[in-house]
Amino acid sequence: MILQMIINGLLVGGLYASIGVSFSLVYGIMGIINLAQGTQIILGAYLTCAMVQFFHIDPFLTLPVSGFVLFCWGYAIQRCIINMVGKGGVVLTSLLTFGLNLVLINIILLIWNADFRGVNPAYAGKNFELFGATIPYVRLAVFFVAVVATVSLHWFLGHTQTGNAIHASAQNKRAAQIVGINIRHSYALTFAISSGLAGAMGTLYVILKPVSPFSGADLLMILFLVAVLGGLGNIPGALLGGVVMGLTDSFSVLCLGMQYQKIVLFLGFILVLIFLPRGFFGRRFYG
Amino acid sequence: MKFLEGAGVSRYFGGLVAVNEVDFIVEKGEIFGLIGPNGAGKTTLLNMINGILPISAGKLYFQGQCLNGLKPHEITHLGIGRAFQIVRPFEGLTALQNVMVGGIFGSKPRKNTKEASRGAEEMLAFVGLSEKMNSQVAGLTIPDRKRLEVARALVMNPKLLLLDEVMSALNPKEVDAMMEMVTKVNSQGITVVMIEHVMRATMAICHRILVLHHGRRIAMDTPQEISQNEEVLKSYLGERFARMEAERRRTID
Amino acid sequence: MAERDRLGRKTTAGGAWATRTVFGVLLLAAFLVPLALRGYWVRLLANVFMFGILAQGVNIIAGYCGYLALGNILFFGLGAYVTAVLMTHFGVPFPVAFAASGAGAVIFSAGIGLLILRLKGQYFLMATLALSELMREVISSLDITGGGRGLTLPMFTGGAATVNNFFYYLMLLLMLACTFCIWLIDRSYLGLAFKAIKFDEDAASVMGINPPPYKTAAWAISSLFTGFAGSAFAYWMGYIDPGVVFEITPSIKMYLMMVLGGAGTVWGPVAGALFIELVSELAWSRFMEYQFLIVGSILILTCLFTPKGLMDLVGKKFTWSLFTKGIRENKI
Repeated sequence: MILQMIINGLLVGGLYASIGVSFSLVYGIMGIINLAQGTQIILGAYLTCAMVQFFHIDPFLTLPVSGFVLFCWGYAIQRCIINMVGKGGVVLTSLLTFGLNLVLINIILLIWNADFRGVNPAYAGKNFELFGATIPYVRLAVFFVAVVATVSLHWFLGHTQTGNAIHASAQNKRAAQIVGINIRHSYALTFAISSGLAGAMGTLYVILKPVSPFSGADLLMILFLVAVLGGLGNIPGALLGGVVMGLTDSFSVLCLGMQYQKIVLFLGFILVLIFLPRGFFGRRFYG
Repeated sequence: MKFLEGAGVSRYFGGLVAVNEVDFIVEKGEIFGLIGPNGAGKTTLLNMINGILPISAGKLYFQGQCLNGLKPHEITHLGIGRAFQIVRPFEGLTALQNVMVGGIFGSKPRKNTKEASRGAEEMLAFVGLSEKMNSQVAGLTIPDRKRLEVARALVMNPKLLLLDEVMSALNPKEVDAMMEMVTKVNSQGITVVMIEHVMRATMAICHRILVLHHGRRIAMDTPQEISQNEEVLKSYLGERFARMEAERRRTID
Repeated sequence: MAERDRLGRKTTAGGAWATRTVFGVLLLAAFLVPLALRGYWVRLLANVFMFGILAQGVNIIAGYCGYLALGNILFFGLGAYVTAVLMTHFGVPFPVAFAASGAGAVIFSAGIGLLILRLKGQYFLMATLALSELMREVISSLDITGGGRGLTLPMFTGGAATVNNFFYYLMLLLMLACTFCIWLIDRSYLGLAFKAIKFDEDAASVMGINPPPYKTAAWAISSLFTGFAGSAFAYWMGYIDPGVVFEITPSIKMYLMMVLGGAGTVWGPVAGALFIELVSELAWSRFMEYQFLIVGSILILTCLFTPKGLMDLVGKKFTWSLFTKGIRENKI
């Protein structure tokens, strides 16, 4: 039973980690708290639902599409809107993303109305046994895709020229501009990567759980917790944060039951902010 | 009892050692220069003196009191004022209000606004900003901002004034004015610790100078000695300065 | 010759006269409204004043201190539920329940504030959002609050007109009290400390300000009035449930009103509340399904074009360059 819980926690933790990374990235590079990130994930989820419904394809195949759509959306939003208040500080940018969140929710409501939606692939019930624990293939696949996405993002930021340009614009705006980096572009690219990752994770999320247009609020809390646990702006830290979050999640269901899951989550976040605000590793500036 | 004393002061950022076991003593009443190349840890040292950054290792004493673990405002109330390098006025306030913040909160117990307002006006007159008293600081020029920064620190009646590059980005005439101001402040009995890249000013008004390089102390002496110190010449002042010094000494001889 | 107040701000003698006259007339008009207008308008204006209180509440902590308490609706809910629980389960009269709501909100904010306001703004922002979600979840799962079913409060005794007038004057007086409080803060050392913290917290602490107590004080004042508003709202509506008091739109609207009217000004948020509530009632209440879209878009446009508020534009000649001033100042 305990082993089952640990495995469940680890598997969903991979997804949480990826969600946390997408949020942490934008904060680390630009200092922006993206309050629309939860709803961006939900938008990705709804895109997947729509594609599965129309084309009757496997939900995993829709991942590149929802990722790409949100990538473009993210680029446009940062380039045309958020860059315009970039120097206004955390108050103005947060209010802006707060407004953006509301607009997104309304768009989803208008297109898909307020019902819960999910996808149910034929192989959803299939699983295998490992040391007496049941492991559904779907969850394992979700875990792998999420981890691969996160690790390749980390590699991209550390080992490519574009990645370096993004780092540079995070560390010293003026100097980056002097060496010919287009700050507006690399900021937009950062936000686009984050949104694209959110869209892709939306696909994975909806394979596990049905979503409503308002589920973004819960996801926002999850990604706050993951990002803060790992150290706000710290990407490798967010991976660990995700796993801890997943384990907490599955154990709180085991020990206290479903109805207290959210209370544990929110209370846990407040306690982390009080006792461990710098996360496990301290807030290393990861840009 | 030393006025300001640092013993083995260090600061680490992750694996990076920004300030490495620096010992120094500042005597009461002197102007104490702090020089070194960019990234030598000068500003980090000042940040530790007024508590913005915690001290990683070592001890700092001000008039016999240990500064380790004190909050910035507590250190300010002990009598240490600070002017920042990147001038940091409160953008939405007027020049007068900026100085008033220091006037009201800079000493314990808090002063009332009327008293602080009068004090702030006098201080702005002292630094020569009377005319711009009521303009928003967002509209001030760089030299004006530097002067405002000094006024904000001085209005707290500090015993020790920390100045971080208040002369950079000023033209020679403005540097002269600032030098005059610093000496005037010093003559009123306020000890000054200043980081400065403008060598002309540092050499002229400092009584003693501490040279940092890669976070380490490489010299602490009078300006005359510093300007002849081999290691300082090599690592900071550079070949050109060494040649100029040699030239100057030759002409004097 | 321009007169100046204690903080060195311009108060021209002539201008002060004009302002005072306009202000007096508006105030008198506000007190006379229930005598002249129908119940609909009285209720609408009472609602405007309630939003005025909420906007002023976030003005203290976010507009003055620069700490974005996005979850401030939590005190509205807390106040509403303290009143509802005390009145339904314990038969406490409204005035006592009202006072208890304010006290409860202050105790909660001061207690939590001392713990989390040592942190910087971005953490605080996330914490308040989590706190409001937590409060909502806890209230929805407790028995004493009626859970998701909500609570029905004892009826206010009296005719429809009496009810309307009572809540009209209660909200008006609360809003005036709140604004008076901000006016006092604005002209005292507290206002300077708050603004210093907002513009540069490190510099503020080097100038002798210890930020956490000031930030906590600001949040406590903010929560006091928000809690009062929640209490009055609960008694006014006669029925509350978690969905009603923790609704998503008001929590964003109060920020919209603050920014649109002018964050960190004494009267701006009230003007913002009046503007937004009247326009929303008259113009977009018919398009309920677009509500989020409209509120969200206005908030985005406000952040882009008038980050300092509409009041900042009053009396200036309207030109293209004034229109794009916000963007020019803030874009990267």
